[in-house]
Amino acid sequence: MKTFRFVLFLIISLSIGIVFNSRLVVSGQPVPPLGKFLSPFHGFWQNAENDPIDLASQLNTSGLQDPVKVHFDELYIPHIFASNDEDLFFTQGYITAYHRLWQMEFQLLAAEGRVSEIIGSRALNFDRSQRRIGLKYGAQKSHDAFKKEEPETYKMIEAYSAGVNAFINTLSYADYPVEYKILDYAPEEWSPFKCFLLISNMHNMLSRGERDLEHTNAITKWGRDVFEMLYPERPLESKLDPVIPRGTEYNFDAIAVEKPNVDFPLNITNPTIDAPDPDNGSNSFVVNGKKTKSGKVILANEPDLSLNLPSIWYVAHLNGPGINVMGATLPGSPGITIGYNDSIAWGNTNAKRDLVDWYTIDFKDAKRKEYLYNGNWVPTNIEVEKFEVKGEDPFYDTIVYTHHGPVTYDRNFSNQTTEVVNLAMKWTAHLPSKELKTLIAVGTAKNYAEFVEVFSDFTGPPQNYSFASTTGDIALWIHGKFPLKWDEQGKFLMDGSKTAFEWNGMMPQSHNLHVINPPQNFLSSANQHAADTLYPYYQYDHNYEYYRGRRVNDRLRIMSQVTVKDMMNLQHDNFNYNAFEILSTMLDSLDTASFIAKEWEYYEKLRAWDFFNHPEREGPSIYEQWWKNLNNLLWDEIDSSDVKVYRPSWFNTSKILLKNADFEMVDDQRTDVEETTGDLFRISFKQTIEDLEEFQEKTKGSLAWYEYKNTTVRHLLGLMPFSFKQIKIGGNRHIVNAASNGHGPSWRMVVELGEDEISAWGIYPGSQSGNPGNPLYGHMIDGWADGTYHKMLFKSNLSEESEGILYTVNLQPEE
Amino acid sequence: MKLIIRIILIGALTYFLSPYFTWWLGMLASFLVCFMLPSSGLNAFIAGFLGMGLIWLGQSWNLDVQNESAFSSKIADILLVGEPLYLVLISGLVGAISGGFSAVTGASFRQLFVKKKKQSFYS
Repeated sequence: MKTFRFVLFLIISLSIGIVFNSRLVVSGQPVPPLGKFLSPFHGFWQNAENDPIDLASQLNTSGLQDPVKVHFDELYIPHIFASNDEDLFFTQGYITAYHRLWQMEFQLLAAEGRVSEIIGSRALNFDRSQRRIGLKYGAQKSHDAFKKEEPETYKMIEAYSAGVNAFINTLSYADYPVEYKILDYAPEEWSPFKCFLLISNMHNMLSRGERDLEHTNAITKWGRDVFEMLYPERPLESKLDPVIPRGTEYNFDAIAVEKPNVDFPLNITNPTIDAPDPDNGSNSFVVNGKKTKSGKVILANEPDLSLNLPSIWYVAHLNGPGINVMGATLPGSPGITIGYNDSIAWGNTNAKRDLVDWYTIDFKDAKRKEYLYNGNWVPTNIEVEKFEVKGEDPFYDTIVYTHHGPVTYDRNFSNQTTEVVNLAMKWTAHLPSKELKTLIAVGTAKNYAEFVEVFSDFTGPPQNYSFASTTGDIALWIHGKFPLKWDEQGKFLMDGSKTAFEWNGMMPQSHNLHVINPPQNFLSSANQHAADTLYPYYQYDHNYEYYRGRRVNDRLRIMSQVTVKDMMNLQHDNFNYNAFEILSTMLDSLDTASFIAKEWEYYEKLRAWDFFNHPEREGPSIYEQWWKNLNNLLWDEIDSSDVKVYRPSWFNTSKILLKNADFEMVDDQRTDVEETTGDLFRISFKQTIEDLEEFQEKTKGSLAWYEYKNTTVRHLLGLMPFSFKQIKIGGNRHIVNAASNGHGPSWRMVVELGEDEISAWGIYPGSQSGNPGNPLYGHMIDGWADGTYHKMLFKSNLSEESEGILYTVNLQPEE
Repeated sequence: MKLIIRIILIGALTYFLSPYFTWWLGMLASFLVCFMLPSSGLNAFIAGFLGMGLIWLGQSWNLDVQNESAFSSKIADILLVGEPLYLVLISGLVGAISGGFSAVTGASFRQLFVKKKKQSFYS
C-alpha cells in the first residue's frame, strides 16, 4: 500500500515536472513550458530589465589577447577600443551577441532551412525552398574557398565567431533571450560558416528577384505584343533618370556578346517559391562642396527593407590600430556594412539586375543520374538533405545538382499533378564569393582608389555604392559581379541542354558602371535603371524603380546651399510622384454632374490635395484606396490567370492608362459591355467611397494617412505585443520616405565630410537592445518617424569620462 | 509549528538555491524536506504547496513591481491571460502545484523506509 502510494505520487510529481518542462499545444496554440517559462528565477521574469544595460563592468573572457574597452553612449551604441584586429572583431561578436543573439541565430537558421527544428513541420516547405534555391549550398562554397584563399581575413571571422561563442558560454537558461524561452530551444555554437550564411541571406533578400518563369507564361499565353505592353524594359525612355547620369562616357572596350539564333522554350511553369519583397530597395545621395553651404561633402543613405524587431541593423564603432570606423552592421557579420571612417563615407542601394536564370533539364531516366547537355549525357550530383523536425521524425529531400545549379523544381518538390518540368537555378549567389573580406577591408579604405580596390572581391548582392571623402570627392560605383548576357538572355526560361543559353562569363570590374565628381555636383541612386541605352552591355531587371530616383534628382538639381538638415528633409520627402502623374486625369474623367454629396466630399478632398503623403492628410488615403481598386479592376485578367503571371509596375500601369487606353486588358472581361479607362476610373471611385466609409465605421478611426496606412514594425516572430503599430509617419512605397505598412527606411544616415572632420547623424526604427523586456526596446521608433536624427559620437579617443558615455565595460583576457 | 518550519525550509531552499539550478529545484527541495522531516501526507502537501508556491508568487510579484509590469503585460498579451497580475498568480500556482506534489512524494518515500527500518529492527 505504502509502495503504491509512493509510486503514485512519484508518477504525479514526475508528470508535473515533465509537463511543466515541455512545450504544449493547447487548442492549436503553442504554449511555452510553464514551469521553465514562469519560474521567477529562470523564466521570462528574468528577461524584464529595469536598467538599459546589465553587462558587468569587468568581464574576464578567454580568447582575448589584450584588454578591450567598450564604451556605451546614450543610444547604447558600443564604441569598441581594442589594441589588435582579432580582439576588435572578437569583441564586436561578443557585444553584438549580447544585444542581438536570438535574431542573429534565428535569421540564419531560416537562411539555412532549419526553422522546422524550432517550430515543427509547418515550416518544412519553407525550409525545403531555402535549401532548394541553394542558400546553404552557396554559403558552404564561399566558406570553403574563403578559408583556403583568404587565411588572414578568415582569422577575423574566426575571432568574431569566438566572441559570439564567448558570450553564449556565459549564459544559463535564465539569461537566454526570451524568444528562446517562448519557442523552447537553446542557442547553438556559432561558427564562421554562419557569417557566410548571412551573405547568402542578403543575396536572397536583394538579388533573387526575377520573373523569368512568369515571363515565359505570359508570352506563351498572350503573345509578344501584349507581353511588351505589360512588361516593357524601358517604358517612356525620356522620363527615366538612370543611376549613372545621362551623357557619362564609358571608357572601355566592351566585350561583344552575340545573340545566338535560338528560341526560348515555351513551357508553362508555376513557380511556388516566394519571391523576395519587391519593395526591397534604398535611396542614397551625395552632394559635393560646390552644392553645400559649408563647402563640405554630404552623403545620405537609407536602405528600405522589411521593418522588424529586433532591427536588421545594429550600430557600432570599431577602433583599433589603423582602423576607426562606425556605422550600421548586420548582426552576424564582422565589420561595418554602411558607414564612415576617418577618411571616407559610403552608402548603398540595391543595384537591381536579373541574376537568377532558370534552365530546363532533361534527365536520361527516372534515376536522374545523367542529363542532356550539348548532345551528351552528363552526370548529375545527387545530394540528400536532412531536415530535423521538432516533434517528428527527420525529413529527407533529394536535391539533384547540375552544372547550372540545383534542380530547384522537380518531381520531389512540385505540386503539379501534370507533367513535371525540371528546372535548374543559376544564380550568382551560388558562386564562391568574398563579400566578408570587403566588409572588413572597407573600414580601412582611405580614398577613392582604395575604395574601388576593396570592392574588386565583391560579388553581390550588387549595390550602387555612393562614396564621399574628406578630400571632397564624390563618386558612385555599381559594385558586384554581373554575367555577360545577350539581349533578353535569362529574361525567359532557357533550354539547359544547349550551350547557346550559357552565360558568357563575367563582366570585368572596370566595366562596371561608375562615375566620379560629375559636373552636376551630385550623385544619387534609388534602384532605378542603371544607365542610358548607350551603355554597351545588356542590363535588365523586371523591377526597376521609377519614382523615388526621379524625385530625388528633381530636388537635387534645384537645391543649392545644401545643409545637413536639407539632406535629412529629402530623406523624409513625402511627394507622391505616382499620384502627381495620374490623379488629375482620374479626377477629370469623373462625371461630376451626377455626383451625390458623399462623392463631392471625396472629390473635393482629392482636388485640394497637394500630392504630399504627410501623416495627417486624408488625400493620400483616398488616393491609395482608389489606385488599389483601379488596379484590381484593370488587372483582373492577370489576377485570375490560370498560370502564374504578375502585375505590371505602377509606372507602366500609369503609362498604359494615360497613353494606351485602347489596350485590350482595359476592358473588364467579366462584363458584357466594353469598358474604357474612364469607366474604370468611375467604377473604382464609387467603390473607393464605399470601402473608406466602411473602413471608418469598422476602425472608428479617421482617414488620416498614417492611421489608414498603419506602418508597423513587427517582431520577427509576428508577436504583436512585441511590435509597434500605427506609427505616425508619412510616405509610402515609391515615395522617397518609403515607409509603407511593414516596410521602409531601416537605417537613416547622413554624413558630412570636411577636411579634418567627419560628422554623422543616424537613426533606425528600433533599439540596440533586441530584448522586448528592455526599457529602451524600440525607443528610436517615434524619432525615426518624426524626422529626428541622433548625432553619432565618432571620435578616435574615448574614455569612461568622455561626454556622452554612459557605461564602460572592460574586457580582460582570462588568465 | 512543524508545518511552519517545513514551509520556511522549503521556501528558503527554493529562494536561495534556485538561481543556481534549474526551475525544478523547488520540487527537489520540497521532496527532500518532507523526506527528512516526518509528516502526514496532507501536511507535506501544504508545506510544499505554500513553501514553493509562496516563493514563486512572491518573487514574481516582486520582480513585476520593480518592472512596473512593463514586460509582464506584453507576455500576458501573448499568453492571452489578460492582466499581468494573473501571470503572477499563475506563476505562483505552477510553483505551488509542483512543490505540493513533490512534498507528498517525499513524505511517502519516507514511509517506505520507516517500514523497512522497523522490520530490520526486529529481524
